[in-house]
Amino acid sequence: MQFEAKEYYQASLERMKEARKIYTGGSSYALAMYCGGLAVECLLRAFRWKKDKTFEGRHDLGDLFKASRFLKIDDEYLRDKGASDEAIRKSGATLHATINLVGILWHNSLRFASEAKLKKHLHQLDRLKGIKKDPLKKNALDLLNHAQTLIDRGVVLWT
Amino acid sequence: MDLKEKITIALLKDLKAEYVRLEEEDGISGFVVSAKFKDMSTLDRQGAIEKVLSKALTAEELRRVLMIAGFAREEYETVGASIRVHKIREKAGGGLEILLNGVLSDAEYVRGAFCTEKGIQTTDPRPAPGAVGVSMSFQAKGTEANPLTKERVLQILKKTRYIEVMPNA
Repeated sequence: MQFEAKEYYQASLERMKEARKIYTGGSSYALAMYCGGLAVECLLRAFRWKKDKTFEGRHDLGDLFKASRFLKIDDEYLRDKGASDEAIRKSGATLHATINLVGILWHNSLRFASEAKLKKHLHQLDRLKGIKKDPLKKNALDLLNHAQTLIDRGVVLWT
Repeated sequence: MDLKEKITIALLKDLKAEYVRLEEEDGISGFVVSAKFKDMSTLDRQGAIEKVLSKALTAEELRRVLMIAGFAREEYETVGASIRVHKIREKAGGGLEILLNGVLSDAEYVRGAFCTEKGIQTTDPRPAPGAVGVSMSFQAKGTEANPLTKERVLQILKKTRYIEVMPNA
């Protein structure tokens, strides 16, 4: 199957919706996290496709973020709309911080991960410390909120 | 009533939305600005939007909604964008043409600013190619007894949130 920008964009929004439903259902935080990161990957592929139609097989969100020109598009959008330099800088910093957090927590191999494996993965990332209740739920929520922030921005830039 | 209209009405009513922008291309996506989203996480906003839409739409209609992003007023004012009105032209015959930068939903939003004013009629927005920085336009007209002036248009637009009237418009 081959995909175009619009199809990546649509898939991105649908995956994000599903990620939230899976998270809310509480049956698999590994799958919720996978879908949330996948939504971001689809979004970045959608923006990348506009500039470069070749297929990029890797799933590195940091690389895709650069290739998508998401920051540049955000910058141009805000400049075009007359935003202040401070607002543009702040928006860029938020996007950077957001993609960094998603990039730390998400990996394409999460699709193979059980809840137990996810816990080990989060332990290796030192993401279990200081969380009294369910650490998987907390990390899934962190990832999904950041993923949703990127998707929300993507929707504004796309529409 | 088409689906975009149905969604807009539900969001305006139940979320007290201040601005709704929707696009349809193999599904509906867009965003809504509401003061209710202040101090709410992005994920919880989706929950609130879904709750409203679940009440207002059928299951089949819901499947056509890809996603509607939620923004608090302050966020949208910082990283969002005002709709720029570039020119207000007086037309022969008494009407005025309003030229703006944006897509159809932006033009509909600007046009909506006149809806609450008595005795003003507006035309459907249409693309306005050629002019630099302008992409849509529509016309507004008052009555014979109470004609619409450029000053009144400026007053109406300037008091409407998310609209920026450019200097020399």
